[in-house]
Amino acid sequence: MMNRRGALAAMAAATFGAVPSGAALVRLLQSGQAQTQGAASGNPASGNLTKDPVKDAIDERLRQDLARLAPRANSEEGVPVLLACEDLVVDKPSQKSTVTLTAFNAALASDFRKTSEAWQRIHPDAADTDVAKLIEVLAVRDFANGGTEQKQ
Amino acid sequence: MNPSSTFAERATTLGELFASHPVIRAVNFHNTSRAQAERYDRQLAQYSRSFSSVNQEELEEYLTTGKWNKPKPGLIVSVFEGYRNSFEVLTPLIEKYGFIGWYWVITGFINASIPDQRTFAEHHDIDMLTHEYADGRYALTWDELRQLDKRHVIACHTRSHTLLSQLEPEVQRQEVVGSQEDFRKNLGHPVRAFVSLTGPAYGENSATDSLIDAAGYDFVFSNFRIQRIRAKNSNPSSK
Repeated sequence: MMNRRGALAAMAAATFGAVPSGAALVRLLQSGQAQTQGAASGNPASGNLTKDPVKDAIDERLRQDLARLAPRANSEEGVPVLLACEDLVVDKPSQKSTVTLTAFNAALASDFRKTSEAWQRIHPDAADTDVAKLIEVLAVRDFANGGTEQKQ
Repeated sequence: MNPSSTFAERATTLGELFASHPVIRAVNFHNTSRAQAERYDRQLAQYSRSFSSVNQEELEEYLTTGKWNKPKPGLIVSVFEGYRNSFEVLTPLIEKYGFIGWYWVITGFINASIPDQRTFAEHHDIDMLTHEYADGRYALTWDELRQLDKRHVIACHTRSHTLLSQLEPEVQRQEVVGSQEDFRKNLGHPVRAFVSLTGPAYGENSATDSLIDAAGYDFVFSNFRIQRIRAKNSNPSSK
């Protein structure tokens, strides 16, 4: 049986070939729900309630999005993603690009930061490969709104 | 380093990447069975209202300037592996809604004999929840790829869909350079874009980078980014 890290690695691979099962995402969600219940029962070690309405709203939206994505069979779905464009002919890797940036960048970066913080509140043991799913969540939101939240 | 800090570091790095580089949307398809055709139709219809097609020249322009010159943002429609149903089911819908498909082809899958294609798929992470072809042909043919090549983008997804970092140098060469030779032989020209299984980026593995250079690819796609690694005109073998 694939362990959790393996399942998440498979998620990360979803973009380019090896397609994850919804079961892995269900396990993640169950993990998050268990942590929430732990917090409600007064166990601070596993708690993730922030008592901050804004953060709680972000967390709840993320949980709902993950729940919607869980049953999908990504091998037979069109999966939205967002890709950063690097021109290595001009720039060195990881350097700031010299090309034109738009409001899309700022909006996406802000959403990315808030949602990645929420992800860590929900899943304190998140693996680095979870980032792929996080990007998928943001892409699904953006596509569902016709790209209007984050203009190119 | 604990897993949480690793996630945080990765997220921070990617957040900075998205903040400081042009970003483009893509949608990734794999096995597009006929049973799901109506759903694909609805999905692409919805996207066509908000997004426009992207060809290689438009992508190159966007990569180099960050400027997008169409009224609607660009959407790269990626179609992975080289499934037969990508030609029969998805391509008519891609064309119906005015998109350009980017077909990421595993050349070993195309070259497998028909009786061997399901076995090849099972052994190379080519997922098939649906087995819809009684005749056993699950991969595109080179003739179909030549038809797609007239209007869409054909790109390389290695020969065998394996993790390059785990391969011996000569085997890795076959995956990166050998697959380009397959395209040269069967399409009559090299392809410009490359992605490998799990999508490591250019710059993450020097041995792989050298092979990508040797094969003459211009673009490397990976999980979170598209990299232009050479100008088209600097590659005499380009289409």
